[in-house]
Amino acid sequence: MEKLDVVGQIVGGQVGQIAIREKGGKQIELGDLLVSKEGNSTLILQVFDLVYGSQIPRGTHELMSGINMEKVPYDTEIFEPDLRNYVLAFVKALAKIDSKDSAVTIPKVLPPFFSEVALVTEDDLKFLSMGDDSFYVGKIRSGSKIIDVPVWLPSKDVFSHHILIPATTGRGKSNLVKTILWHVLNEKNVGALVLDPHDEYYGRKEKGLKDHPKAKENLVYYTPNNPQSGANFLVVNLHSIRPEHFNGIVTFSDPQEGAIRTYHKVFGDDWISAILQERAHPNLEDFSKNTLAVLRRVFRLTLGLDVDSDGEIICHNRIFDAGSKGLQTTDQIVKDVESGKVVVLDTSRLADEAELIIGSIIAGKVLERYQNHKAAGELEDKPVVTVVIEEAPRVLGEDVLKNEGNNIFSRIAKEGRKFQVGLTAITQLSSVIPKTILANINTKIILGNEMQQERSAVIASASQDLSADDRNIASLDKGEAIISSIFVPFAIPIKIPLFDELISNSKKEPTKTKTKTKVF
Amino acid sequence: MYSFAHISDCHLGFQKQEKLQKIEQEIFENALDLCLKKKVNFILISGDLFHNSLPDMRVTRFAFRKFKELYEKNIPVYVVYGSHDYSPVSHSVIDLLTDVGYLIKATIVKDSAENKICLDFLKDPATGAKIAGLPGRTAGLEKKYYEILDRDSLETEDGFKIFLFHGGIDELKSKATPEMDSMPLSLLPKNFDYYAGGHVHTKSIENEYDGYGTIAYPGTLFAGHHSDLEISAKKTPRGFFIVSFDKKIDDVEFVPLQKAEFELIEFNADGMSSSKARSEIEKQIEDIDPKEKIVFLKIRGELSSGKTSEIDLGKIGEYLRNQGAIDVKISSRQFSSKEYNITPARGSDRDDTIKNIFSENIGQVKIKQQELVGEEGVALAQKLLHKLKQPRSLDEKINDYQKRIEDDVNQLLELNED
Amino acid sequence: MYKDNAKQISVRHKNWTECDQRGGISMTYDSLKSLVDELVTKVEDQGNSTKMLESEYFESLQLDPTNFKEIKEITKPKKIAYVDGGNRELLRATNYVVELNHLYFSIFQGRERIIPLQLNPRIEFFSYVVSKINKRGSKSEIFYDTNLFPYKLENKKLLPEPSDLSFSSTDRTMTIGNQRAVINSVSAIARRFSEKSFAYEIVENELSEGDILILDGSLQNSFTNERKYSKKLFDAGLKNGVIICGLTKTSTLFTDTGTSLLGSVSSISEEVKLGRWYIPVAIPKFEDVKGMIFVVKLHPQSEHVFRFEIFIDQYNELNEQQIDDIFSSLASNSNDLAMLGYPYGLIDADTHARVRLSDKEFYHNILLSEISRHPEWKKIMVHSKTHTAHDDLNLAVG
Repeated sequence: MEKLDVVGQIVGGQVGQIAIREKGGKQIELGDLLVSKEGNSTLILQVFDLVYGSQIPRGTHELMSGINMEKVPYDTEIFEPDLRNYVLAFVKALAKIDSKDSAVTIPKVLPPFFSEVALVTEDDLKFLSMGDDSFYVGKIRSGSKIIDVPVWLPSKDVFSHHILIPATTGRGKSNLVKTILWHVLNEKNVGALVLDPHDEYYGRKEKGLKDHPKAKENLVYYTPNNPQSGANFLVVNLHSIRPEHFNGIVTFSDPQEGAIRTYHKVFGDDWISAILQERAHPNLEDFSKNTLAVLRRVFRLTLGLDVDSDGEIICHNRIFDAGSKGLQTTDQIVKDVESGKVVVLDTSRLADEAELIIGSIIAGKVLERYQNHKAAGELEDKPVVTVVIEEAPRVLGEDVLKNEGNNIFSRIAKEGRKFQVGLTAITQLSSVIPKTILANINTKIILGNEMQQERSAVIASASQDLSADDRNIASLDKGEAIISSIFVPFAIPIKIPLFDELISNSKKEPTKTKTKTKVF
Repeated sequence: MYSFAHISDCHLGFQKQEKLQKIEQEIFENALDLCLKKKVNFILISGDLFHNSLPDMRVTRFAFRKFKELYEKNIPVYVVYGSHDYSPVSHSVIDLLTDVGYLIKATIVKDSAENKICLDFLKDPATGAKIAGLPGRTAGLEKKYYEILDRDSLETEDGFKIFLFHGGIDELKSKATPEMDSMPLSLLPKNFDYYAGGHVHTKSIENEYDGYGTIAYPGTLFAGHHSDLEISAKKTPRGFFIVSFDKKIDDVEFVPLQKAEFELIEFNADGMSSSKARSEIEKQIEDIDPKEKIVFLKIRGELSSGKTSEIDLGKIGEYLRNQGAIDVKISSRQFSSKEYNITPARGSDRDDTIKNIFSENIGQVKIKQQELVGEEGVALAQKLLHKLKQPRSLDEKINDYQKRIEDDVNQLLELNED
Repeated sequence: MYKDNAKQISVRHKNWTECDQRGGISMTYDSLKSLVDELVTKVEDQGNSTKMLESEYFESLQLDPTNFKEIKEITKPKKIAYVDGGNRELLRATNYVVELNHLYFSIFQGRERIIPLQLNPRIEFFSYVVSKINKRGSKSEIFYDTNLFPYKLENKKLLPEPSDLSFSSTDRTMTIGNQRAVINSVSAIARRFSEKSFAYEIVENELSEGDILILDGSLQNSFTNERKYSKKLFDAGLKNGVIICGLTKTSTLFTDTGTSLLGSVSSISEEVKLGRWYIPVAIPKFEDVKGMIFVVKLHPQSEHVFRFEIFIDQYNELNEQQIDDIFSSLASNSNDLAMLGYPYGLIDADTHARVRLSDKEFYHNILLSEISRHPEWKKIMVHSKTHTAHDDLNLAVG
């Protein structure tokens, strides 16, 4: 057996809580991956707790400390401190890897007593190979150390089964999403609709997705705000909005819903303009002035719409248009997403509801089209689609769903998988998302979270047993994460690369031969 | 105060039928006559002046005649190529007209290095207006010019500026033309007073985009696409713009041109028997006066019994022509019969339409290979069409393009070379 | 007497009952206060002693403040081997006992551990003691025979001969009062002899001239046949120049006023004001008593003083500096905070020699398993039941 760089030895414990005594001079970290070689297999273990162990009573330690700190002139010490004082690492077995065929199984027996353990190396993790159609999320992390083994997740499976990214502020959520999208841009097997409320993904002023070598072919950016060359103005025609797009986002009373239905029936796609401009029609019932006034106010608050002194509809956020602008915007976005492109919408100037309504329109169309593709037997040829949405509780929160009913995002969360349409939901508050939805989200890329309640919610719905990882998750540093997914053999600790480094390391397209461009 | 005319998409030579050719010519000549009458300082034509690069002599002749007239009256005509009237491999009639000075190309390339196109302005001598432009190309290939366009030098130029171009803009696409090749507005250089657009056949004008002046498409004068006349029949105005300006745009006036009259019959045969549908159609035809008009008959819906072929559309067309119609266009793409077991349409875009057509007719294909019939056959047909629609790349030779398409098709159909 | 006692008991009981009824904590305090007052008085009455109680075994020396010698620091401490053993019964009956035994040694030089060169520092062995009847004339006498079963067969040569561990149950060195020696006292002897036997091997294989070997306990021979093993050890010490010593944590030695020797020496040392010291207290004068006795304090902040012995034949050949060096070396190993003033080597030895309850339970089960395989297992177990009544009672009453 090859010589291991031993860092400890198994000294006791039980399943799920094996105790390892740390070798003197080594420093086992929380989250470290350790290996124990036994016969024809390698056991992979992960540290989830560290405690002090000692052959000396605690009171003696405290006394020694007092002597040192208070500079009491005792001629005393602790003999053989490394032998008598040590660290016990509590580990759980993650996986058993067969040396011959790299088959991965869940360990069902305890490793032999006094087995020596070493830190994991790249060779031990060879079984984590890249499959076809995968996207990169980072490298394996052992404690705070990075192992040069990349982690690839199968795109089609992971995106269609939804992803949850739970994290508190400052833990690297944006960096993670950018990293994922960066790799999605490499191919056209995943289409993404990204609702970007902070305008941080494209990279208007700093590095971003626009710097990807294939950005020209595979990235589309919509912004209301002075788009750079190649980007699109985000303008959505009011004709694109149907009453059902407000479902689950804005609550209307019964009379208001009745008015909406009627105006839609009478005026068709022009129903919003008709309400705003107080148009009359013989087929219109008499609605209370209050009802219509409230509807106008709702449109003003959510969509930024108003009517000027000439009776023309204006939009304060310059995003919605009642004229001829933006008639094809949502359809074009759907087409782009369906062709495997990444479409980023800068919704930073929009109120929450407006952002969600736009998202609702597009996501609804995508889902409908994919339902049709499935019925026609064409789904296999289509790229999987993911809708990236921040602050997911706005649409998936228990209260929201209870008070305002289902919306397209919750529908996708529940049914989208069958149609290759998934959600990538980013949230600080997993605890407010119903368990049924959390359970449906089969990949969780867990970033650091200091809120115990939130950690519990994530742990409870994880695809692996993370019950012992509470402390691990609390101590995750910026850029560190744990992937819990039904598509990985065990909960994998990763270090997500810094996006800027990713850009500098990405291969440049070979420069084409120098020929002048002919302009006719 | 100065003025200029902005005309686009004349598609001279598009019409094959004599009477329509006559109208096409008259409308073109009327437009230029109006320009003369209104004493415009110059004329802009933003592409697709001709329907192809080498139209027949009849078209060439009257075009030359009219442009000569303008030339002699010192009214410059600035043009860019459109997607139809240029040729990548040989010359275009535009070149003849510019060689003799009747037309002036607005595309002046200062430097087209590997990754940059730098345009120069040409200055209209009478008004001082600065004009720059880029041509259109087939299948939206002109987008690549814009991606490497040096915008800075264009944007920082002072004075009254016009950008002449031929191409669709994403943000201004209409519901009627979702498939039109287009590019984001942001690819156009900013800070121009007027964007004289072509390629879009319906009139539109926008001036509410920050950083961009007036963006205008006058639309086609008559027709350049088979659907244009039908759109005209639905009362869409046809004409061109006259723009008055000094240091800034003062006014944009649309000058309508109408030389043809139309009759439009839209008939829904849903749930009718073929005999009933026939008699209803005949009744509606009798109610109209088709003389000297272009008649459109659009039949859609699913017959409850009988076949679609039991309604002799050819005869109907002949009848209308005999009644004096200039031309008769009959559309029955969405007309079906239960007897053919047609799959109903889902949505209204092109993909669904194509699929429906295949689905409608695949039942008549009586061959043994399973992959060529039924749903498999429909799916295969769609994929085949998709392959055949692949555009040629910017620097791809025709032979290479052809070979590529052939290889792709053979691979799809699993055919060997032998 | 018994009636008076009963009355006293009933009075006391009544008082307790009254305590219970009245919740009378004060009554309890009163009793204890009286006890303490009386006890202190009696101890005070013992007065200040000046020397150890004379006996046939020792010549007592004056416990004078001037006889205290300071233990100084040493730059190059001597190498010291510490030996200790432990045992615990696995199965017991009146007529047999099975024990688990540990022997262990460690070597330190000051605070540094020295890795043994040849010997395995720990030996584990099982032993049994079984009773038998020896006839002496018409009298039948109970004898106890012992056998030892080392875990590793090669260690058998390090252990005492089983023939030296056969004793009469009436051997005066083992009886208590007029009661026959109980069988498990023999098993404790087996461990004691084993320590000396093991110590011999250590002297022969691991130590060299000038080194020291310290047994946990006295150098005194207490039991029949023990002399053989002590002599073997002492001779090896003399031959190799290794100083044989013993250190006892507790002592039953008295002073001439009836106070405890260690306590009295400790009191006297307060006048002396030395941090670390030693004082000779008795010279052996009996064949089976071979240790020159000292009382030693190895750390200024330690609360403990210990009885320390040096093999008299070696002591007599040592000069003052050499004796000082022994104590200085010992003191340099006695600064560990776990037990200040007690040699770390003995703490270490005790840790490894001790037979823990968990060890007992483990081996007990294996032993029972082995017994149950034997066709005659009932013959064994029927006797052990006679000793489990107490345990059964414990289980019953909780």
